Amino acid sequence: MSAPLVVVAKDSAEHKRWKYVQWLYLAGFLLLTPLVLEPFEIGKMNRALIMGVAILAVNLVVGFNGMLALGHSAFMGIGAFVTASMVQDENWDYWQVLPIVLLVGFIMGVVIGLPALRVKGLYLALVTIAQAAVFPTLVNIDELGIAKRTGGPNGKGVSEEVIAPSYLEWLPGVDGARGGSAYRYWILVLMIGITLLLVTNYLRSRPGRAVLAIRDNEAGAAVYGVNLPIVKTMNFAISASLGSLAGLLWCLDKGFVAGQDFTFLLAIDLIIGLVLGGVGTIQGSIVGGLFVVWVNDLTKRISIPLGLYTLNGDGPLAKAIFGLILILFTFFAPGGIVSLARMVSSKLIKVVPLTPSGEPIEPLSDLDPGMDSTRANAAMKLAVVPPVLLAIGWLLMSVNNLIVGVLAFGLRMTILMAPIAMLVGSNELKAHAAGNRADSVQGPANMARLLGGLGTLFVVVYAAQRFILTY
Amino acid sequence: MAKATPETQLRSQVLATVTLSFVMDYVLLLQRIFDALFNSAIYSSLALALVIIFRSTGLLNFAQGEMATFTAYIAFVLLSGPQPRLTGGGLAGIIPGVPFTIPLAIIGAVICGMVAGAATERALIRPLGGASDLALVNITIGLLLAVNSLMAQWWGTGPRFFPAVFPSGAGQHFLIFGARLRYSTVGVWAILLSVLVLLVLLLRHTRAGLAFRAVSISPSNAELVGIRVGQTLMYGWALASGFGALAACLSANSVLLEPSMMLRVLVYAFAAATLGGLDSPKGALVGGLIIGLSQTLIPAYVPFIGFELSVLPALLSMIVILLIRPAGLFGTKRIERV
Repeated sequence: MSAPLVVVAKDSAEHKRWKYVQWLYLAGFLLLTPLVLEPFEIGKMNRALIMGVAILAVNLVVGFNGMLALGHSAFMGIGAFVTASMVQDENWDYWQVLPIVLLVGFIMGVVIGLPALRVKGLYLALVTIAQAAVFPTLVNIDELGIAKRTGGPNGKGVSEEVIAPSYLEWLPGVDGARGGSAYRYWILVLMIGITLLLVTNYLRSRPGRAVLAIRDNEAGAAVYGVNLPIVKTMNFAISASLGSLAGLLWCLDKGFVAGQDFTFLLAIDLIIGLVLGGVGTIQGSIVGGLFVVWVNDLTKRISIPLGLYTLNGDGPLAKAIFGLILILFTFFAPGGIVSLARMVSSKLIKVVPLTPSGEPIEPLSDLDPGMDSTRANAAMKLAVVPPVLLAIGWLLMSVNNLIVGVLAFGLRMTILMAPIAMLVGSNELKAHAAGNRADSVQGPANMARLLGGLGTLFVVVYAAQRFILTY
Repeated sequence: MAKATPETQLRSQVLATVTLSFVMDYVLLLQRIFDALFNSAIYSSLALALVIIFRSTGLLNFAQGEMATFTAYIAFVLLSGPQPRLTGGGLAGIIPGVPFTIPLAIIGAVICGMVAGAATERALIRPLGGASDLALVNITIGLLLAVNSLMAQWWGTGPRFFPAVFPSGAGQHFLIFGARLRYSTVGVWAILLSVLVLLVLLLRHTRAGLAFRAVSISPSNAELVGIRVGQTLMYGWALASGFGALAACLSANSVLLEPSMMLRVLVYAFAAATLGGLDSPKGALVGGLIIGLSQTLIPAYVPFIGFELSVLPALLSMIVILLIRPAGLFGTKRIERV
């Protein structure tokens, strides 16, 4: 499969169809999460999403501006403590605290960023790590009423619960547990959606392009009239503001804030998420957040007997695995998971951009392998293998519980592959009708379209059934 | 003969009290300085390790503290035999215990540290070549996490007793102006200074030292005149890790041996190295002294800063020095051509 399965012109009907499929997957993922997972697992997902926001904040400085700032755990802490204090002591609502937190984060970003950004590279890493290291102790100062506000070493709890209003009871997963983690999950999804939109637009705006230019060539950017100190400081402040937003969400989700939550170790977690997800990509930040939390969760379940000694992931081993992952990713996948995903998707689809007149920039047929296309065969395999696995798993489930794994794997494969197989199959059939394919393509393409369509239908029915069952 | 009026009596009394309190304070001050000197030595030696690596490789080794702690554990195993972990077994049980004396154990730990440092450079740093700063930071942070949790896995997270290198009992100190200067402080400084002299001799008067200096000034030029850059850097890492091992072994008695014991020390050592100049061994020494003293004296005399916050002045001084004089007190200024 060296050639991509599908070659489409940008913004053509087929390209749009692929995009719809992507959005469908995303929507399905978001919808099924609160339905399928247990409440405590939704809690973990919430934590992952919050980490995603914080990693996005780090990414804004490290990934997009090329500045080695590693102390965003402190900004998270500031946001969390301001929220806890305002909500608990002043009886404010979370929505009312939001602008305050963003503003405080922004001001702190300017205050710290102005001096810190005068130093470069590793020196900046040092300063920001100092910032992360000192924050947990700053919380305990008795002067200025700080300890009273932050709760000092004991931390601060927020007694106000986040309860879904009755008109939002219809949200998936919320029904029957209005104070549960599912409602907070939907709040987080909404906030992250807005954040992603704003950050994407920011990076496309004039100051955003200046930020990228500074990363790519600082001197060049200065020559083209970018005001380096102002752009850098503003970007750092926006990132700090985003970090404190993550702190607010943290407080909202956990209802408890303590200084020891925001140590240097959290800063390290953020860096791991950054590298794992993909430095300098927006999606990578959220993916990184998910992986940091779920990999940590998975390692806790490890239990390998080694002779007399059992290797338990429950203890300190999780951190060792993270260290190893960090090193391995730096060596073998410096672009993170997002780059790996792009590699896979480049095997599936190639989008050819258009010239201003609306023509594809390079003829689609040249990229097309032509008459002896093997795509139909590949698509058929995609369509056939998962359902076969599914069937085997289903047949053998009564024999042994272990086979449940095969069943689950088949199910996931079907969910992923069936729509792709269907689209490729119909694409090949169309190419055959236009005279671009040999007749031998017809069989596999028909098969792929049929089985892929059935699989897709199955997926839709399955999702609908899960959906209906929970209501 | 003047008669002592109540006024003069009062005056003399006040005078006496002030003088006395000053003398008392003086002793207290001296005592605090002496106490701070021990920590200063530890910070200086770890800062020295950081400086050696920064000078040659141009990177900050965030794992320096953990690598040092690891060697302290090795000394611990050499001294007291394989100690079973509090729960479960572990690799510690595989290493046969040999009754070592303390100096021998420390030398063993330093050698292990040097080998580990060289291996790290060869296996993790050199293959990356001229990668970005972020990549190098990632590698050392990954190493920090891995080594830290492996130690916790093998030896448990609980503190272990590490025997004192120098006599540090109740009466074992010099008395200078009423303040106690412990033997251990003197001993640690003696070791630190003698090692420093050895380092200077090595750098100034041997071929390897000359090669090392050439590589740290310009790796590409050094390569052109036939110096094996990779190997020289490896020796540099070995040297630095040896220093770290020494620092960890000397401080393991006072801070209690546990996996994260050097993490806090590392923050101070970074501050010390930055203060003195990241590429200056002399600066590391002076920076360690300043940080150690400020850590003890500022919380004692500035009421606003409690001992809880003793980390604050060190870090603030680091930030201030970076802003005013980014090269540090003794560092060489880098000229960046833009």
